[in-house]
Amino acid sequence: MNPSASTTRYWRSLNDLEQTSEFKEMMAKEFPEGAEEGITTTSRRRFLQLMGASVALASATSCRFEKENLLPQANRKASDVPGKPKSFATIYNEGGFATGLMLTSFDGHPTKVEGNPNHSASLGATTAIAQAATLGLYDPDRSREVASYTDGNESDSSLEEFKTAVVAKIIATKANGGAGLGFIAETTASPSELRLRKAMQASFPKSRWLTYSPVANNNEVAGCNLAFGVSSRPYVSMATARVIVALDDDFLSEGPSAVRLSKEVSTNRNPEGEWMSRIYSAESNFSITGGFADHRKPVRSSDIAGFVNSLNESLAGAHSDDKFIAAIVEDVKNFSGSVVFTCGAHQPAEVHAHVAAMNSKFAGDNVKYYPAAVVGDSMKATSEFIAAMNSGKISNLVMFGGNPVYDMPANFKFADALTNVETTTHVSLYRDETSKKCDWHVAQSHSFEHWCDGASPDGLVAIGQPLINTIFNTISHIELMSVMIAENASSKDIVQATQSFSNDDLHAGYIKGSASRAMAVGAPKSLPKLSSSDNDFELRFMPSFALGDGRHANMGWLQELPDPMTKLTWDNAALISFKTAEAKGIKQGSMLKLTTAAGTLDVPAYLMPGHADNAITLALGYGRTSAGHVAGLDDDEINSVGFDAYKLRGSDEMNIAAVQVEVTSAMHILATTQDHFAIDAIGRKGMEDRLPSLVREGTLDQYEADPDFAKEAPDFWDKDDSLFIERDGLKTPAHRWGMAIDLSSCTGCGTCTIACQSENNIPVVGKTEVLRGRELAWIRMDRYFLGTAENPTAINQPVGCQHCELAPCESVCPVAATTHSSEGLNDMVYNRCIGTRYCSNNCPYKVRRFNFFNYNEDTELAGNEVMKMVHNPDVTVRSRGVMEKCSMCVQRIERVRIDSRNEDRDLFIEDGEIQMACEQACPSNAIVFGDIEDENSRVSKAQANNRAYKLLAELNNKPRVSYLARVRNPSPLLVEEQSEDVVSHG
Amino acid sequence: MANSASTTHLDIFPEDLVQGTNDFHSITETVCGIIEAPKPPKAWYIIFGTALAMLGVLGAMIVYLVTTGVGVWGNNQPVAWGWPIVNFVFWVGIGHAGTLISAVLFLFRQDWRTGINRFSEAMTIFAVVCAGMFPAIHVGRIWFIWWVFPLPNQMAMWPNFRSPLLWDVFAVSTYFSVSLLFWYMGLVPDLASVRDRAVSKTKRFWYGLFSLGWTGSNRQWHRYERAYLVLAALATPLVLSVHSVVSFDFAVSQLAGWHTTIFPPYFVAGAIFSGFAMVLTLSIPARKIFGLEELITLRHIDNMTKVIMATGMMVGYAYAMEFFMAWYSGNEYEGFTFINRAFGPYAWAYWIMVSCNVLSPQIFWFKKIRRNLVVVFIMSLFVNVGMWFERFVITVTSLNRDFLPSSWHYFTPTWVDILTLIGSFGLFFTLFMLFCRFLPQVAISEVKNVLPQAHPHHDAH
Repeated sequence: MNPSASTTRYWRSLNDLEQTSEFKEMMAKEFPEGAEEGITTTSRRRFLQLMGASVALASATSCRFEKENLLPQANRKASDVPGKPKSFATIYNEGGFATGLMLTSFDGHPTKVEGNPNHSASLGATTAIAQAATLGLYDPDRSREVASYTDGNESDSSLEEFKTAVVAKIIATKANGGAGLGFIAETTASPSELRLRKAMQASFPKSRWLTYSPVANNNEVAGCNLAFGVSSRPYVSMATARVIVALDDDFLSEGPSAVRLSKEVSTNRNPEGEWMSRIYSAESNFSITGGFADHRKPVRSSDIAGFVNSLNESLAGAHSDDKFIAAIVEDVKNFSGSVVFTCGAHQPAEVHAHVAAMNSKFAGDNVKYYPAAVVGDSMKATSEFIAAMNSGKISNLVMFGGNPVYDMPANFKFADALTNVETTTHVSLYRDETSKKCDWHVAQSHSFEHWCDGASPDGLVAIGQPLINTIFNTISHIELMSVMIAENASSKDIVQATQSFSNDDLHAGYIKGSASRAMAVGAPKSLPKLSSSDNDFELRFMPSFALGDGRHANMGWLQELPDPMTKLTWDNAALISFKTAEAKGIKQGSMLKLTTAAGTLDVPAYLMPGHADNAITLALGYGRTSAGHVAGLDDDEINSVGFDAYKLRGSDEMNIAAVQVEVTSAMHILATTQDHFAIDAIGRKGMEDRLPSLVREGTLDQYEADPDFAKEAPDFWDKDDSLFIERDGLKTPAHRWGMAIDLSSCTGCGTCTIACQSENNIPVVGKTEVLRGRELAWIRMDRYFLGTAENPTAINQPVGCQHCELAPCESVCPVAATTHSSEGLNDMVYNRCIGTRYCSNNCPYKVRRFNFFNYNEDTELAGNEVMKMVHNPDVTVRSRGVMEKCSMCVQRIERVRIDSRNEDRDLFIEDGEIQMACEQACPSNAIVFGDIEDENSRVSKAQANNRAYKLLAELNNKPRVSYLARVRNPSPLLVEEQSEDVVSHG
Repeated sequence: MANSASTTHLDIFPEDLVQGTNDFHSITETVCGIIEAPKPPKAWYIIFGTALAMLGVLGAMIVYLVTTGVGVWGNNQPVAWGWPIVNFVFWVGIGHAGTLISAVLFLFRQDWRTGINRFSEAMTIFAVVCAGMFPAIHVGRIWFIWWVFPLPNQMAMWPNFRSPLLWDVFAVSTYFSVSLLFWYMGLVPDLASVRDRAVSKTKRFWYGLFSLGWTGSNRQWHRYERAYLVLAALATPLVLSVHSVVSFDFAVSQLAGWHTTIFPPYFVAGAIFSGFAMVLTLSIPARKIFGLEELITLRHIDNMTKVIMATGMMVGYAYAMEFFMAWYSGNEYEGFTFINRAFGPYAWAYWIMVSCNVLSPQIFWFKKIRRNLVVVFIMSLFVNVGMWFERFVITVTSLNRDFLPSSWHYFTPTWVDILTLIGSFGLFFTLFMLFCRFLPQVAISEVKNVLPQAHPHHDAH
């Protein structure tokens, strides 16, 4: 590792900067990767395992169909057109809060999640996790039936048996007030679930209750309590915020408001707007918020308190030598009243209190306070509950959801506590780690299978409509609670009993007027100065970007979604800074032995540019041992994916822990979708030379001084130098489809990738294949770093097929399997493709993806009958040996065209009537699709923007996709410091 | 030729093309004797057995490939073409020397070709068989490979005539047919000799069938010579065309490192270079094993090493010119590709290529070395290796780091890649060993033509 490499401008990851002897050795070796276990060797075994499951399922589903009370329609309803999808408003609960969805359903089965533009938490977009909800619905690993366990042996049972064995006993305890009963539930804002929990507490007053979620908002609420003495929760709006200061807060991807905040921020990151916001981020790990910010400073999570102290002192007038703080102070002065401070949910309550106080002074109306919601019980209450379990005070325990055996603080030894309870029951979607330690497992319904409700952070209540009957013999939490209080109501009745709602509310996707009113919290109390940390080396637990707290671990799409900053798939890793790694002799992939007060764990290291020194960030949610065939299943000898960070998490140090790091000689292979291999000086130089023209960016001042700064072309490009006589004038098509991607808005979150995967039936390929570079994403997120390894900036670029007008792929295909449509789409004819892969070689953007194996059939789960239901029936499922790539959602174009033709208006398809899956899901409005024939369309305007440029335009391919250069809005106080990093264009 | 009576230096008199005390009869005896011997030499069994085993490996690899998918190879994104295409170009290149020797040298009246032309034509055919196999098995859906042919079909679809891969289909199949025809026609008089000498009924039947009733009449010889000339004239442009077209696969594309106008002549020179190297690799052991030292003489070998040296320098010139053009074009992508090729992660492959192809043939400036069979044999192996690496360097190093750095990915072959390459040698040597055993390895009638007895007045007219 060469410190002089710090002068590097653009690079892809730390590997690029590395010049170690290992690296040279590896380069010298002819075949460094070694023969990997092929997909087929594993999948054959898994395939057989699943064959058994599929057979069982086939019989299960047939039973199900016999029982259904479906009446044949003698006359089809006018609204039911076979094969024509319908869209229903429903909700998705994540982290206790609800977000509104529009769920597309084909002939009675939901296939695609979209955001609900009416819903205040969605504004039309979703997270990547929500996009994968349909995959969860059809996950063949989902539990299908009640199970009972005796001495660890699982046997299928039925709900009736469960009712006789357990529910009857629970009801019987009503006489003595439910003594001996214990219930564990997750934090939620669902009105019906909260109502039923209260009803149960009323029925069983002596029962014990515990609310626990591994990632909760407790600190935020506790902070508000400290600051205002009122139990409340901050609700930040960024639409009018001129300055945003994120304190160890990845508000663009974490928490229930991430989508809304992305939308709001994107509106004021428009360089053509009246003003542009400025974002500061002080954070430990390099998050997408840090990458999106104008200024970022690496600060350890435990040093944020100290940082807030200095900031407070400077805001009070003290001089600060820290230019970063000085710049914030200057901006606060200029924009007081619209400066928003946000703080990561994992920060201690005291820091939240100070942030609340700062917001009271400077944020104006941009920060409001709402009643506390989704708060778990304290660690003290949790430990008391577990003590009650151990002492036998709880003899009958029912757990509604969650996975406490996996995700409880390690020092509570929850699995041992379970053995001290006479009867234990776990109601969950999967027969997971917790279920397997219980006496009973009750299979839970997916939220798309039953009526439910939920509230978003602003208290807005929305009703979740079911779109499909329960696929398996499952029951929802609310229905089971209703059974336990002997009401036996259906989920619809339960939700209707909680609140009344009209059909209009269902249609809109939320109950009008249900949002809470902001609370008057008053002026903040005076707060004691924050004590700074004495942590030598910190470990921060972070919910996984894709898997959350681990509940989504079995979603292959999410496992294979590259982390936005590390580009890591199928693993978590200890993220550590370059400098610290060097000091400790840690290499990329070195196995580290981490020891905290709670436990020990071996994890691989990932050298993360811009990470704070003497700190490790580790994602939760990996290392599942009983998640399913994707994420790990000990029973079937399927290894866990990643490493279980909960083993290190103790109740005293739930978010930030002191850690001892021991470097071992073992290495772990990490599968990333970029930077597969270490890079040499030549490759690095090549990148530095070309990246300024590939990902163009400038500052707001630069843009104002030279609006065409992004237009510069390489001097060897002779624009008139075309050998082709272009046939444009011969026949003008009705539409010419095009796209524009605004790099100023794109946060790099990767939601587009999952939306595309769901829309276009893209299979996952697995870790081995990712290592081979065979991932299939049609739209990928390229991420480049700029600046020094200590504190770089990052830029993201979503790249899909550019739909070149003179497409180089088309001319080289010997069988004409890829051709041009009259409307300018580069079409891929799967049936005709024989798989010469020449098109891929000739594609300068390398967006073409090849089915090296029969991924759709051979990978362990994809061939499953239930899993097939997740497919979009409008999109061909590709077989082995064919090439595939972005089709510009041609099925969506055609669907709208058919409708418009039926209405005799196919020349007048409205702008925005056709939305690409990626465009629809994008939380920051970065992608625009439309007709460039129409001068007034959004895409035409975007492509006419000064910042618009075409990727590799000098090749004369004439791409139909334009990129809009990224414009940063640096503080004048910091701009000099940064000027050396700013790329000169051209 | 030897029009140099003015000098007395012995060296410039070419040695006789047939050495020893051979006459018409002894040549027939020598060549036909190999076929007529009750058992081939021990070495034949060893080589044939090994080749057959390797052929079995190839079969197994193809079955595995077809049943599983092209993912069994190391190909990835962005290196969508890996070893199979490298092997294809390698074998097509080898297949060049045969036609060059038989057709072009024939038209230029280079009599020394007679000793080796049968040999090298056979090598050509078998190399093209190996070459043709690779593009066929390398596609994702081999069961639809027939779509590349312009056959009438229910889909009413033509192949895409703009695609260089389609030109390849035509170029390679034409080359194969003409080479086969040319080789077979040359065989007819010799097959008739074998037929006439055959003692067993089976042999008489089969050699009789394939010798097409050849009697050796004057009229037949006349027709034969005319036809041979016509075919030679037809085959000559093919020598240039086939590898030019193969080079279009690369040159027509947009990829830096492939998109180069120098490719057609550069590929042809490289092909001749590798083809002659392979003729040497085969003929040096064969003349020993089958006792053909008097027919395939040191003069033949000397001449071939000179061709290798000349074409090796042409190839070296092309290497240099590629760098020059990359710099001269001012295109940063081109420039990067070549610097990356020579000094990037695949530098090892590049320098293997340069040392084998450009540096090593330089030792042929020395006559002593040109006539040292051990050295020549080893050098010919070097050239074969170097030329395989040339194709590897062109294909893989250009692809593995193309335009967008986010897609860059190192390519690593799998065991299936390696065994398939080995297996293709099995196919080649199996066919070649069968040829050695059952067909006349040297063109009997043509060699007799260059005996002094056939030209009582020598060349003095």
